[in-house]
Amino acid sequence: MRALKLIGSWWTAVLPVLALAGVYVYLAFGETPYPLWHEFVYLSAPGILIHTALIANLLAASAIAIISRRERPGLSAIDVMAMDVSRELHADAFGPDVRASVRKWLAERGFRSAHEVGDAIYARKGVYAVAIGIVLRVSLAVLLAGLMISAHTRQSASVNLAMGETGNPLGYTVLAGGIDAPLPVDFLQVGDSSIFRMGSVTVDADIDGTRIAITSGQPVRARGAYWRVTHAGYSQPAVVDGRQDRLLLDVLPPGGTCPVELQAKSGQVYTVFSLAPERTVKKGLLSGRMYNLGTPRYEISLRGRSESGVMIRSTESGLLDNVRIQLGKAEPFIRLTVVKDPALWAIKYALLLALAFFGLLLARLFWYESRIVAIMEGGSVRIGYSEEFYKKYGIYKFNTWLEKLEKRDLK
Amino acid sequence: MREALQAALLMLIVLEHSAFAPCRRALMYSVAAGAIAGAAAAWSAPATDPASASMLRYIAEFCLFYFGLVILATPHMRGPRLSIGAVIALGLALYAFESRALWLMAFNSTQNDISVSKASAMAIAGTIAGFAPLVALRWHSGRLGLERFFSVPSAIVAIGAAKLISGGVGEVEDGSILTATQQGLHYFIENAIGHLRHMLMLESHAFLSVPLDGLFVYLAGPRTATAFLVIMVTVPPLLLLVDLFSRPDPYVKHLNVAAERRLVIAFFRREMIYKSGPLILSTVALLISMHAVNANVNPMVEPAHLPVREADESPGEIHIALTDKLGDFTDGMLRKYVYYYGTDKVRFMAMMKPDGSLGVALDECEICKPAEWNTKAIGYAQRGDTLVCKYCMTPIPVSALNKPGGCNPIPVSFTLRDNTIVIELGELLRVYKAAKNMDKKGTHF
Repeated sequence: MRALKLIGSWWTAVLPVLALAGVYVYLAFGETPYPLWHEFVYLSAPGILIHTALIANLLAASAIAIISRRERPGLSAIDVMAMDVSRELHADAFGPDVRASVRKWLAERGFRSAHEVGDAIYARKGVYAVAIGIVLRVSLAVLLAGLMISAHTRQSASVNLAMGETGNPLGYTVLAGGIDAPLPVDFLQVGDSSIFRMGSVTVDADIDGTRIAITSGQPVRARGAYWRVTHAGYSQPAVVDGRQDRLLLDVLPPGGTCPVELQAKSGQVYTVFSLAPERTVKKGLLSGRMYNLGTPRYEISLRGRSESGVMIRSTESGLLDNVRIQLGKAEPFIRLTVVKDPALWAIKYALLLALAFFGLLLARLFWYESRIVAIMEGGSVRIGYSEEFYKKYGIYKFNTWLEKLEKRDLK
Repeated sequence: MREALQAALLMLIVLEHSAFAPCRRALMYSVAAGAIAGAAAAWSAPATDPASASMLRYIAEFCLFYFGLVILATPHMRGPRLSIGAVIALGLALYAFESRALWLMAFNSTQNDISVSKASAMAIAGTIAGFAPLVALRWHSGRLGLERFFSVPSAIVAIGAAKLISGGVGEVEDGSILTATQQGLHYFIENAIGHLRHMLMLESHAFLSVPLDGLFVYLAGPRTATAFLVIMVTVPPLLLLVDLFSRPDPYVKHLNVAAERRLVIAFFRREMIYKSGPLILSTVALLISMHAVNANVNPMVEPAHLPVREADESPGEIHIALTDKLGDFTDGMLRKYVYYYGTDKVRFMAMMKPDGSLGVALDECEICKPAEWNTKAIGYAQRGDTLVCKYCMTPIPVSALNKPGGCNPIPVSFTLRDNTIVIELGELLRVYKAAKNMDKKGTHF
């Protein structure tokens, strides 16, 4: 128990946090402290030790809270005098049946479930209030442990897939079925900063025989890993000087450019693709550019020679510096990211739980433990009272109870 | 002299407190040692990176600020050696950095044809002048007995708070410790949120909608960092206040005379109020200084009024080009102009609203009427996507430009011709005169 109290003490919580803060401050003298600090915390031996100490502290503090709540309060006269406040009253104040009167008096003060042990009666209120702190500490411990495990075991990979294509990220065989990417035929870009926002992108994927719909929203779990669509663009079939090719054009949002190497008859041709607007719209001071993202039109130029550009719409053809480029029907491609992380679920749910119970901590302002002990010895009753918080108010409250009790007795 | 005077005032709290009686000499020697060490650091390494020097000062001042809590939490550790050690550290922290900055200023002044001896003499004279009142007070007056107002932890926290608010030498360092701490916290939180998003596979994206993106962006914003900073600076004095006010009234039941019981309780409560004064003052002062942090996060911008006159090619009109050497209206920034009408200054402003339309209005509203001499309160400034009336500090959304009434700037009609704002001079003057004749609320400022 002593070891548990030492591990779960405030100093064991504060010192590791101060150590981490001190390391960060030291690294802050440099340019980019956060990545170095992250490396220290998760990958260096001292960092792992400090991290482990914090986790142990949180769990030990929770264990201490549970044990202390289960323990019966001390029932000796010395224990009662050590409480926040205690008074000795004449037994006559409680009438002929002292025990029953004490129980009744306790019940009137909200201590409904009193326990008798020998000549002592004790009762507690708000015992379960500590549960909020326990759940918060345990969820924080799980979160920290999850982050540490993740830092050492996480594997991730990404693959670009058009409809019907297969990829092998992290050893999985993924076949992209239908891809649903909402690309509007009339998108107006106003101003310099891109305002393009694509709705949810969905791909019907087959992962090692398991069919699942993967979206750009929350990651989905399949085959022991987590999957999410993390990017989209155009998969553009092309025939360049008679040679079939499929170009992955990362030209979204409109205004973006994508360097592409084309294999022409004359050799490698280095080009830059970008989306070309259908027309320009003037509204007030601003010029807007209208794009057809369903059947896009591209501006293709030679790298380093923007004046050499040619406009070719998908399903059409054109000539760029004697290179014939014939484009097929543009389809969306998606980038699928897969993460294998045994701790990801723990991180997610521990974080949610920690946030929820952190908010619930406010309830502790009103919900806290108070305990009362009455010892009947000879012709007197010694009563002691303690509150978890607001001790001064608790003492005042107790004195008021006893004054009322004594006045009632006098009456 | 200013920094020395500040250090002297803070030393007074410690010197006049009975709990520090065994450490008074240690404090005085350590302050002197700090002054000498600062001077030596300035003369031996004047090219030390100012950012690093400021960082060290920030660390020292925050350690000082939080040390009060450590003392509160560890009363059983207050042995004489620890106390003297702590007081020595306090003395060094009180003046070493200011001394370094002062001697850096002296060193820099020698680059401007001021002799070394003259610069040194001025620095020494300023230091002596700053500490002189303390010496005089200690020499001539009786003990002030500041333990009525300060406990040991609250003395340390109050000194720490004073250093946080006014530490450093403004001429050498730019930005306050609180602003720098807010920026540092913002950087940390931004990166931590980014790391968390990466762990949850919810990284931000240029155009894909990501779940909880708005929440993450808000949490990673400067306001969260400011909120953390407010908690950081208010926790120590508030904890000490809670500790102070949670002490129960003294036990007086054994006193037979009721008046005596009341006297004991009244004395106890009065002492509590005296001791809470410096803590409450520290908290309020820190919260007020947070205003400077907030202003730095979201600065107010007010351009100077550019003088305009009638267009040469179109008398009776004022022309304002949408694009000129000063920039383009599409930048969304407020632009101010002034037309001199006899002895009157007709101040007006123009800017592009978020929807792409233009807004032109007088640089005043229908309600506020600041005095002419109170130039800092006249007109509007821009803060982000709002216009702020400098008199009543009411924020007006930029989209409300051109809409009359209330705190909105008084609109002026205009036309747009060939990428030029065209304002009829007659219309401008009509609106100006009407605004001047309005029965606005006066002011004593």
